[in-house]
Amino acid sequence: MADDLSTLEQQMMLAISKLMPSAYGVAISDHIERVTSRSYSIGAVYAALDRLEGRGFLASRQGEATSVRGGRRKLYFDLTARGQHALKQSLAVIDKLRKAPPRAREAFV
Amino acid sequence: MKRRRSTGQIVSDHPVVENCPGLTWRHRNGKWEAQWRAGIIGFPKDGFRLWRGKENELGDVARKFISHNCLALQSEMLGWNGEGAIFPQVEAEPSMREVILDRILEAGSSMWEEIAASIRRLFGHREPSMEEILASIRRIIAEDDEARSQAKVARINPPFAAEWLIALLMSSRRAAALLGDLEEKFNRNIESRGVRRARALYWSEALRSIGPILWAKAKKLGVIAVIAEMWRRTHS
Repeated sequence: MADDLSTLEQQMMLAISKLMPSAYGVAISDHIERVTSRSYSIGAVYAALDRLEGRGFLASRQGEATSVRGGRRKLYFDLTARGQHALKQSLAVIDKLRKAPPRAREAFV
Repeated sequence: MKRRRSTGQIVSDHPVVENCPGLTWRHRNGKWEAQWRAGIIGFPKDGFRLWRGKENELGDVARKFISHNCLALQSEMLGWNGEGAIFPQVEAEPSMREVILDRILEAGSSMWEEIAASIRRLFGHREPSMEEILASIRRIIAEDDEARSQAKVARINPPFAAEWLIALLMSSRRAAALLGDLEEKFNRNIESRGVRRARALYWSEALRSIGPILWAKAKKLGVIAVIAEMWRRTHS
């Protein structure tokens, strides 16, 4: 399916939905680390963000430059309507799998 | 004791001043120069000339001055490095700004009345209250202190080679955002873990980042195209 999301992509999009409108690299990776205790490198975060933006799930905009960042601008990410729909669908699939009753073992004839 | 230099010039040993960590001596144009130099990785490479003259011109006052400043600079450097003080902390001479601020804050009501009166004259019709004026002065001092502390942090730069490596692999807009994020983390780590550890963490983060970036690029462009692009960037 074209709208399939990996675990990292799901986590990323959930983090962005929580942090919006101030979701940028450090904030996203900090949020994921705080909640899941898994640490991703900034490069991995940006690679996933790039991928999601390329698929039209995210939109980016430039923010303010601060001295703490060496005068470089932040790049904020927002979920697009398409991204929200894809995330909802992806989570629904997991929910469905979680709630599905165990299938009775078929007897050998 | 005197030594002969390779140039044939005869030079006597440099003067000795007790209790001067980080002090170096140079002989130039027949005179000795006492210079304090930063010696720990991560501290901005800098030198401060503390004294210059002939050996017999070095009096007690100059010796005291050199020792006092060496200890003060060393303490500051160790403070920056986050390693704790090895040498005794020396209270540096207060700057003019600190003296003025202290005087303002300690001053009695007469001085405040004078300041308030002059401000009221400027505002004329509005006549700000004393509390308002005090709050403004406190805000200005706090903003100034914050700007100074930010400037101090900004003086330590992250490893250039690691920055270059990242910039080589990404588009300029993305690279700027990613390097900004790395620098933000770097500055946060300086405050919590010290410069040396912050630099190590920066390198580790940069190296961990290269794999996913390269992989994403290779999937997008193909391996040959990635190598060609890197070659083009390094040679342009």
